[in-house]
Amino acid sequence: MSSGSIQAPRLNGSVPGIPGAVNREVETLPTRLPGGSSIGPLTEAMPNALLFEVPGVARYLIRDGTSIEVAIAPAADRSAAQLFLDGSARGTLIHQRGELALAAATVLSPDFRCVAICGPSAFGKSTLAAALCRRGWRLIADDITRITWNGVISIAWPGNAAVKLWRDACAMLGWHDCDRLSRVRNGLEKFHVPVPPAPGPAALTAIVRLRMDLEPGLVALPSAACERLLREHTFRPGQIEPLGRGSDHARIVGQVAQGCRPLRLDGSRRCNIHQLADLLSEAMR
Amino acid sequence: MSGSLVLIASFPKSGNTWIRIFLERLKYGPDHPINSLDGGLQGMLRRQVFDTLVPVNAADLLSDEIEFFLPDVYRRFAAELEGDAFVKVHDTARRNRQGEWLYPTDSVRLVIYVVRHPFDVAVSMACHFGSTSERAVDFMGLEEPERRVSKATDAMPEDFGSWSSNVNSWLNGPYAVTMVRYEDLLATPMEQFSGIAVAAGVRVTSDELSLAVEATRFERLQSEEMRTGFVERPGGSLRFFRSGRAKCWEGVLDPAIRGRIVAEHGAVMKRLGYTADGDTLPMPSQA
Repeated sequence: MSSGSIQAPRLNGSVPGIPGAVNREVETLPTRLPGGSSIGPLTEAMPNALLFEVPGVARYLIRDGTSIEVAIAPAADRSAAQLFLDGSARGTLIHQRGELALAAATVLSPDFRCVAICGPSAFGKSTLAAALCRRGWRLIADDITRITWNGVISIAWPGNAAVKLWRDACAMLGWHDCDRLSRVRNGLEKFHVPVPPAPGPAALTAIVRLRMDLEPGLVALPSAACERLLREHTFRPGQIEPLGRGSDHARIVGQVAQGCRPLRLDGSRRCNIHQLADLLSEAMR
Repeated sequence: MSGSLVLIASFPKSGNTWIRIFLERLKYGPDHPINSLDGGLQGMLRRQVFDTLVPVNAADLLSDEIEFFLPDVYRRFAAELEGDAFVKVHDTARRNRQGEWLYPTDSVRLVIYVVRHPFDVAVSMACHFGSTSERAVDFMGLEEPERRVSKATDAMPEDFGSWSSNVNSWLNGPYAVTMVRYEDLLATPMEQFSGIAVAAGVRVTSDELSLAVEATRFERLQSEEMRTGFVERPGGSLRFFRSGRAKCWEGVLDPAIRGRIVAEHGAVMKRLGYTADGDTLPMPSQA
């Protein structure tokens, strides 16, 4: 590297919302995980270790619930490497700790009700979280929420203080000047939208599952539905057994379900995002 | 467990959903609702399967990266099946940058390829997307349309290619292909649907076949859509099951547009027995 060039910051440091865990950028990582088995495309796992790769971006080795090593591919887009570090690699790390990695955008109401918004990709979880943050709510985490159990209550831990939104979702919420925001990675029309962060961890109050196809409305589900929702919306559940965390996962799902209200928010395709935010705000007052 | 994929492939608005409903009504019975289709591993469902198997979400990947992972995703999906899965496809048959077929040849048992006269495709597509016929014909001629996931509501990127390249890619590809023409399905439904059932390996009695064919008549689908709606209808379209007849272009497409379609797609039309005056000839033997 010439002396005049600017070196990109290395991806070293703490893992957001996971005290004691660290990210470390390394020059290389092995292509295979000795003793591991293939659990998906370019993904190998064994108890307490998982290796995955996004070709042309980076390879990640997550170990013991405490460390993520990342080897960035030559000439790779570093923002992409960071994206998968903060997302999937962090999710795997949460699994390894025997905690709950929930695929949810989680927000805190002005009355300190903490709500995890779940649903498949593209159902509008992040957009709804951002809409709520425009009316006084605060962001706990976008994408993957770390949830732990302290013996009495379940706790949702803050991640990064931004939601990832497509350009059209930004426009829907009134951010028309996306080009002033940072892209989540080069080549995608998706941006980090800064929102007010929660002041710290919060007790999880409710889990809301988004549905697209029904008439708009908020439906209270029977409490027995909570465990099912938590299982269905766990981040990459196929990793849990190979990581040797099956019983831990069953236990924490049961614990979290005890104090959490299961809800269903219908109509995410049939009404606008502000109506959905109204419904949820009203229910959480 | 290990199954295989049966692809129901076509350029959009060529009868793909019609075939899918027929096969599902053969499988689940003639009253199987149009809003309870398996999904054909299409749209959002395809993205969910991808996101379950691949370590990172499709929404955070570029198109080439998604295509890198797809062959392995389909292979692993098929390996978990107990039998066949019908998969709706509008993509062209093509390889990714690494040289692998997106739909791996070792996981695809059969391709049912559906074609329709391009005059009627243009009319149907214009209605479906709420656009003009000119725009529809533009779309049918695009070789490399934008196929990146561009917003959260998109499912997965697909590359339809042009109408001609879509047809050629599948008929010249590495797969076992059973081709059916929309017009033949209308003219001789029992014969055609029966051929599809046999090719797809669905074992049924002639009574079950008759019931499924009857339950898949276009008027029945239209009336069901009127009663219950159809979840696959796009926002810009009044109805999904709109015409259900051959030569719906008559009185709609002006001669200049028809001439443009023939100029752009004449060679493939001839291959399929579609004439420049909008008729359908018996299937040429060398298609």
